[in-house]
Amino acid sequence: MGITSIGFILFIALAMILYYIVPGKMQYFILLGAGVVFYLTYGIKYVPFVLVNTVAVYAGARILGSRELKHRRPILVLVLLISLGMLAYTKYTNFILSALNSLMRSERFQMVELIMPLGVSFYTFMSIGYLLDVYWKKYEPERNFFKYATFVLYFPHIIQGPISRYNKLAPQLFERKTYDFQRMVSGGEQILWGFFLKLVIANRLDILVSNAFADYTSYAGVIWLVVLALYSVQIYADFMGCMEIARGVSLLFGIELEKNFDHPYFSKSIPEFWRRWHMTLGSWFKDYLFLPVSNSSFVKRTSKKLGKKYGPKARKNFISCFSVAVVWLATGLWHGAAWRFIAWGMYHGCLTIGSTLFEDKIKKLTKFLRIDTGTKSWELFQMMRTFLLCCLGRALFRAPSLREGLLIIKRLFMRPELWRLVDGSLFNMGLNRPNFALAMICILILWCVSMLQEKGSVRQMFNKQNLVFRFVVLYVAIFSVMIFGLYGPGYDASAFIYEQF
Amino acid sequence: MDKLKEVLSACCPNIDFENEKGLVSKKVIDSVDLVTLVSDIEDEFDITIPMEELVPENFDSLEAIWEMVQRLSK
Repeated sequence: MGITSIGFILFIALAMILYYIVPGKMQYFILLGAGVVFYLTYGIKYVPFVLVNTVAVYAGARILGSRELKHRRPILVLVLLISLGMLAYTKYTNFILSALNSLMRSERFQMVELIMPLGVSFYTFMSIGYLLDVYWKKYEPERNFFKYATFVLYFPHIIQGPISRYNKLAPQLFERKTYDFQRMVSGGEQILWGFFLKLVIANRLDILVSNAFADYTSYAGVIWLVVLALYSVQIYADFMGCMEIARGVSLLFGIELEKNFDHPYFSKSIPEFWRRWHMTLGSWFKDYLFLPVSNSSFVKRTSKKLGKKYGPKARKNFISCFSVAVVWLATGLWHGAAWRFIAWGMYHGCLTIGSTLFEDKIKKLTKFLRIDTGTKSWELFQMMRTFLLCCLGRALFRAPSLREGLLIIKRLFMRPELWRLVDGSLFNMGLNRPNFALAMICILILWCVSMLQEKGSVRQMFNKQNLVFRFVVLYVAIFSVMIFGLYGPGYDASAFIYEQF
Repeated sequence: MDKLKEVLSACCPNIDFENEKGLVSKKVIDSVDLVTLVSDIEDEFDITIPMEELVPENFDSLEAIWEMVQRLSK
């Protein structure tokens, strides 16, 4: 059941009715039931994975929470092996086999047909976060299995996140909720904005981007620059759209999910970009990988040795570079089992490390060049530089393979062919002139809304306006999504909206 | 407390540890500073700071760090 389908809307309506008519203590059972039904609609074959993971982590956390337990580490390792083992097996087995074949220059290992459980990367990370928090005694384990299962299977976050923390979400999941009209309106507006981002912007740009990547040798460097910029907008609108729908749906049930994006394309540096993009994943990696790695005895020992030999700066640089490299390798692998994801992770790792190592030198250089870094123009330059660096990385992220990704980057610099920008090439990639223009207008709307959001809540501003104005805007927005949204093959409206889709 | 002040100032010389009350929560120190501080405090006071203690409340001010050090020294 796709989250932009009519079926999903009906499912939400039914779940909401049940949620608000049952007694407060029973409400979480409705959420659990809805989570199970929602997950089952994608197929029963995924259920054993999520069930084993949930039972193992619940039981492991209960044992770890016991005061009589003397040897806690073996239990933690065992549960981590079960949870991460399932993730690794389903996601990385074929990648490892293929790498071994390449290494041995043979076809000794046959690829295995595997099921990739839906949302496995998300629920595994949420579960591991909970387990480690209990292990580190940050809070007590949940005693009620159904409550823990409600957290894992909470349907707005299980497929694409945000990666919620148990201690933050649980109090909201299990407290009594009453119907609140204003909250419903806010949730509805958020869902509508999510539909706009996903159906009108992301799905529209996907046509052009997919065509370009399917035939990467046909396009000049300057066209690739545009494609990569549009792909950067597409992936943002797509992911952000899903997050807005998920957070909006969650709000209908009175539960606020964590924010996953904070206008990342307004960032002035790569480290800032990663603090504003997929924030729950970033903070997960910081708490459960960066801190344990940088606090490990190996890093402490080595950094001290370096500090004694080369000074305190070298010590901090080692801690930062080593831990950042580990985190970025993991981030790359988390996104997918392919060399291009590892390369993309290392690319961002190098940029992050570079910005740490050369921070002082860059400051000195700007001072030497007498650049006034307090001006708006300098900020704009920094934002554009960050955006372009991200675009470059997207070539590796989206290309079918690492080799093709590198060839696209090569094309950017070796065959710019600037005149292609005005010879109509852009309109022969699946989007005709009117649709291209519509995409640009929608991106402009997204940009304006983002600018306003930087100053405060747009929804709060909007809800303060008079009723007639709000009704007109909402009607226009709903019909815009219905008319200009791309719903994919099988949906009648797409035939006249997009002939080539 | 003076010994702790010396350790903190040696690690992050540009930070006013005496007056700052939101070292971690206001991002005055970053994760790398935090880990370096932990390592130096462990050495100086011969204690082990476990992962569960790495929370903003324990590192937001000089007083909070001192309280944690005293607690772990017992």
